[in-house]
Amino acid sequence: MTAMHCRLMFAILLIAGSQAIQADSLSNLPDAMAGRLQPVPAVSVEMLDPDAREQLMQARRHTSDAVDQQMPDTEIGEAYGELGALYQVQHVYTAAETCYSNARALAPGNFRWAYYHAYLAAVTGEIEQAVARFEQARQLRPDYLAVTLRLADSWRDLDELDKARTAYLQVVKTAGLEAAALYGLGQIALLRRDYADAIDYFEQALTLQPEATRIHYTLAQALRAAGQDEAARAHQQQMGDRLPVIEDPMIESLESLKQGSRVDFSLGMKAIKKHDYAGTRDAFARGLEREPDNVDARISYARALYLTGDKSQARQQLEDVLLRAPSNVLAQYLLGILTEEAGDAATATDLYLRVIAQEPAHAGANFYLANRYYRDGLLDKAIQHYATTIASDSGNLSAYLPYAGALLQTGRISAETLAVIESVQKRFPEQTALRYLLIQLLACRDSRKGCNAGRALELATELAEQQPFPPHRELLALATAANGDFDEAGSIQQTLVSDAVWMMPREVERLKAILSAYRNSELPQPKELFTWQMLQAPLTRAADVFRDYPTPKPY
Amino acid sequence: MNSHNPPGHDPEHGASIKRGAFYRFLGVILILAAIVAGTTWYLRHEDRTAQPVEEATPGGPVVDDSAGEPQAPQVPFPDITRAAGIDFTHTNGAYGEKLIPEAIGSGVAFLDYDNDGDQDLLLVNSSWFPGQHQDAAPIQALYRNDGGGTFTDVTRQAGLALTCYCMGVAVGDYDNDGWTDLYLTAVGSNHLFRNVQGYFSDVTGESHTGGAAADWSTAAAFVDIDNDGDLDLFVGNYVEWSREIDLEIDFQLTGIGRAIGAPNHFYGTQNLLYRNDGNSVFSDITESAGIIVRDSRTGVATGKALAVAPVDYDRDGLIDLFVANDTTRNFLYHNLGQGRFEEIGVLEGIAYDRNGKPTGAMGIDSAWYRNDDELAIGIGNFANEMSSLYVTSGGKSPFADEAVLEGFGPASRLALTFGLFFFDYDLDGRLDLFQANGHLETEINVVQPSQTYAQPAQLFWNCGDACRNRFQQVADPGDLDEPMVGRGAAYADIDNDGDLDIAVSQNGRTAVLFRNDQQLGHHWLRVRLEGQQANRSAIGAVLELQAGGITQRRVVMPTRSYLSQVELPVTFGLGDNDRIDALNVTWPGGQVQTVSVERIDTTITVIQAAAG
Repeated sequence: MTAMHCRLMFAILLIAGSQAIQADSLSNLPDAMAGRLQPVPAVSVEMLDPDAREQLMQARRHTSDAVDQQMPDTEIGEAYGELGALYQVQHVYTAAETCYSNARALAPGNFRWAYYHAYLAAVTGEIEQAVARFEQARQLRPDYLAVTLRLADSWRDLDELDKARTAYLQVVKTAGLEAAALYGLGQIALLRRDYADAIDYFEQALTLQPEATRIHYTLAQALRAAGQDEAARAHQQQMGDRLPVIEDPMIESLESLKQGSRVDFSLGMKAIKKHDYAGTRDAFARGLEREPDNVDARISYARALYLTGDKSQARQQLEDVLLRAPSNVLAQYLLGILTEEAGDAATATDLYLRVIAQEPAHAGANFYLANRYYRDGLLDKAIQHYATTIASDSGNLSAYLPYAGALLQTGRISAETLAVIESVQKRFPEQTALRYLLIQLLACRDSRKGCNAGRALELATELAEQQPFPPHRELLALATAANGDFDEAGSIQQTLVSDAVWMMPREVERLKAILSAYRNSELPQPKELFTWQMLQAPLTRAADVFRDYPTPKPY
Repeated sequence: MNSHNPPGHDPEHGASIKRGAFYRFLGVILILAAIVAGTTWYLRHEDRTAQPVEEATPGGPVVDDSAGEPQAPQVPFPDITRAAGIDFTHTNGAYGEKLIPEAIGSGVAFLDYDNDGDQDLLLVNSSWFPGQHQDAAPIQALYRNDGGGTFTDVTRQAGLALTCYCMGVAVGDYDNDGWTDLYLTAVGSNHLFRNVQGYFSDVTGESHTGGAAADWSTAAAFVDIDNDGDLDLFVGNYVEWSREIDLEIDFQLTGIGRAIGAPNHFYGTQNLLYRNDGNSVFSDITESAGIIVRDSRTGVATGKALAVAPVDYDRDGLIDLFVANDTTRNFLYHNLGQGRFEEIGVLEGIAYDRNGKPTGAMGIDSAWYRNDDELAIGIGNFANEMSSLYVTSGGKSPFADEAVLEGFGPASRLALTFGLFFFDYDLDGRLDLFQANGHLETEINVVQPSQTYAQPAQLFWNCGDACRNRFQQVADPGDLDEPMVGRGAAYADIDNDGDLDIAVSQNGRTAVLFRNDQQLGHHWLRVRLEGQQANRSAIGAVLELQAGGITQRRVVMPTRSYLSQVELPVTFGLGDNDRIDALNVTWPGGQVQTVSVERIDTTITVIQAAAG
């Protein structure tokens, strides 16, 4: 037997073994059940967090045992229903669908499974099926009015507007359902172009649930259609993404099955997208109680703590991460930022260097380290780290300006540098500062450094024609001078000086110094130009870093 | 695309690597089995489809007595791909890592590249990912229509043997030399091809239209934004993407594992607008034109464009741009004149669905489908999101989503729609709707019972006012009902019989050509325009045809659907009317020309009259 045969045999054994592990009485139904129930194939749940995975596997074992032991139908049905609910909250809808079907076959009078089965159809977009199932559920429990509301929503989606309206009106006075019913009635009125009624319904719904910020959008639509543009704009600005809450204990019970740290972390990520940092902090805190060793989540928690103003706790969490995972780069980096903000530049520098030692191309650490060196006058080192920053993150626009500033001061601007800046400027045409920088760098008279006075004049003229305000005219004067027309440059600069009577004296002096240079047929010193301030190292804004620094793996 | 469920990662990383090794081995066995099965199927399929396709027997309009409403006429759309000589398989480069570009697919375009009067077919191709080359480099595919709807591959002789991870296409005669030019969008640099008497010359560099190498461009449109007589170029960009970002995000679906990433996990990007300066040179006026859109809170680029529909929605003589964005709000760039735009999608009601939620918007088209003053914007959305049908009221904005009322919403809810366009398939004078569908995930059915990877296309018949819901899904659309992994879609009259045929691109699969075999006896008129003061392609010209007391308004606009271009000639269905009362053309720039139509059931060419 060759090695190849051995490997093939081993693979066959592995496959057989794997099937043995996964096969249970749910995927291979016993003969007695095969005619009555549908098999539920096992699906991979590897990606779930340990709690949720265990919960699901336990429920599956329990159901399988119930089938094996030929328990009474109601008990097997109960087990299938519970398993279906767990699959549903974990978005494994195919398995959930089969489980509910089995549960209902075994326990047709059970309202919970009928309702969840209908709800699942609505969630997966099978609206006609949802309507049929909601109607069946309603027959089982006519008193449970949330079903009527969901039935109304489904009818609305199917353009059965009269039926939907009748159903909404049946529940519009029911505690906990009013806002959602009013919202539905408003939607129907909007579809029917009855804008006055739509506005009225949406306003009532908003009064009941002001936190249901999605209503602002539909209300704005109705107002705009009714010609009330100003009111429409006001509501558009308030729109959020929360629909009216429906008091529905059965569905709340279903949702409560979503357990596990990953659910909390996921909620935390949803909160951060809404800039709800307190919500993010609380969700990550809950998740970390279940999964304390998740250092990625702990870093996200630290970030949320910082963004809610608790800097000391944020620091403590980052230090905790470094105790658990001493080489964690993101924790070191964020701690560096925090430390720099606290004024300890030396320790911050040390932390940035530790990051770079592990990840030489780390865009953030290189950038902030470069800024530190720039401020300390260590321009060569600053240039080196800015270059690394740009190489690893060409979209970091903040790096180009101080990089150019350092190069200018050291006389190391080259045609290649200019080409890079020009290409970035083309990529981000909305970044006016880059255009200013480009004009300034091109507007010189030394061809070895990539000067291109003609191009500078072209860009500056375009800017000045678009918006002839002082900075643009100052650049126009500079580019004009670079092309050798110092008289015209002086003339433009003179108008700037004349217009500057209300400015700070220092600014007037600056403008006059440039004018004086033109009158001497010289180009001004870079430090005299208004763009010079843009070329300095930016301040470290820790809040921006904690909020925006990308984290591909937040937990 | 849309989010399926929250992102996460496996904490037992080491264990998962070992499991991964095992599954990869298992995967190899399964792939081998699939290859055997696939080859068998292919051989059988080839046997079946290589036969000439007989003209199918059509049925006429049917009145369903039980409902009292007319039913859609049964028009067969046989798959004539192989019989017509089309043999193109799209390469998406999928090699197992599930990177987003491999799911997006690419477009198709009908154009008369050789000016012989019939519609040729361009099928855009993507490629292998770097380091994953498997065989000969994939190239684009241009098929010359030999007349009567059979085609010959002329890709190489036409200069289009280009390998790129290309996606979208735009057509238009940007240099007004009478030959239709091409623009291809890509992951990476885009390409502008000048048509030099039937040979496409790559003029990307000199025209400055390549975009940035890091960009991922999708939709594109040639339009004359300033009515100066030449075509400018709009380019839609999707998300900030790289393989590294994609792998780091590591999007997962429970029950499937690593999955195609949802775009809401990626940063958006900015669209581009190039002004045609003449002599094959374009200027990037993105910023000055107001095309940049940022989130007001975060400053991050908002757009994730997949499609664009240019149309003058407010009838002020300036073309506006509707952009379908994936998982973020749609844009409406309102043309303010003098090369300036303002993004007002939210204000005008096309940004969100009925609940104020952004959709996974893919394909887009516009039409006056009621033959009145109401303009509609149709948008194909992600699975479990109805397609949108934003309609004006009283001929004016804001738009309201009437997909539910028109019957189009409920029937389109389950499908994951990419290509979408309005066209009059039965020539009754009312614009119908077509959707090409297909999911992103090959194994989606494992976790979502209502979804499959390949999905049938959908054809909706416009019933007019006679039905409670104007759009009735055609129950038996022939071969259109075969599941496809539909992406780009376009129409043209490939066999010069007056009705509109359909091409659909599939992701990683063969493109499909469907012939419209209607024989309903309806009359028609096809109109080809040639601008003189206006752009030569007449893109943006509005045609109004009066017949039988109805005025049909159509726009010369190849940019429709998803990553695709339809033919430039405009087809009017006349139903039983054998006389045209009036035909007026409003050229870009505002000149109105009345056309005398002597004959119907033919194609006429209208050349713009001298100004004044």
